[in-house]
Amino acid sequence: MALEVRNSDLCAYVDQECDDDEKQRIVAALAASPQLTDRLSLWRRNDAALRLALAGLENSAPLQIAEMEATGTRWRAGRPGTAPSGLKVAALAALAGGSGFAALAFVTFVLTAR
Amino acid sequence: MSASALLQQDHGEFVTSLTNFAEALFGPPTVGGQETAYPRGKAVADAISAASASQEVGQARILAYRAIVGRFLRASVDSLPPMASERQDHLALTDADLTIVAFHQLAPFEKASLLLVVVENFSYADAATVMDLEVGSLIDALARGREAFAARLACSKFGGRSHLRIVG
Repeated sequence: MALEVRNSDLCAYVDQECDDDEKQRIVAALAASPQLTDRLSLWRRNDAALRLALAGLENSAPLQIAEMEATGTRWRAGRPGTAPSGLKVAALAALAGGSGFAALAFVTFVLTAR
Repeated sequence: MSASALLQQDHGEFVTSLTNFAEALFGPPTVGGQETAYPRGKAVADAISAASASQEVGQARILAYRAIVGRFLRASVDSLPPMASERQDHLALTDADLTIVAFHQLAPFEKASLLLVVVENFSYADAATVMDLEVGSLIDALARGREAFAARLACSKFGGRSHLRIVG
């Protein structure tokens, strides 16, 4: 039994669009590949996040102290969510502008340079 | 139940679902308080018109979504202004914000396929009909979309937000 699973195969599995034979093949592949299992889990989490975000549900708090500490982000003062709204707006607008890494780098520079 | 009966009985709910779908696909009608030139309203009007012409409910739904997706895919997406959050004045960069930002950075076919299958729960066959694609092409777009969305989301959350230093 071939265990190679393409992304399109995994999509069909996630969306319950594959037949029983294909489902068995993918289940076997998942059991043999932690990387494939991780990808499946990531896709499912992202799917759920997209549904929640578009449903307008506030499924997350603003920036969390623990999360920032865990990622090595330093704090100058204040609490999560206390950044000036102009900067926040600029950050979100820059991120949404499609300029990707450049925008992220710019926003990071602006915020950390203060 | 005929499509016209559905539209009469559940008109408000149907229009709301179409409007929500169009907004998710095109982005919100205003950015920074300024009204944008999104063809969102026209797309919804097209969708209702298309649905009204159908005699069968399932077909009406497909035709309605197809009208919106068709208008979206025909639009010059490069000219669409950046998507911004309506909540930007009082809350910033939540996971939901970053998720929507990442979603709007996807290519048009990837966005449409993800929205139809993941959010609207269309079958592959129906989503392919809505997008005027073969099922295989729909699945390819969906797979590319999921990979790109994961990459964008990871970039936003771990490459972007985690490096932002909040100052008081």
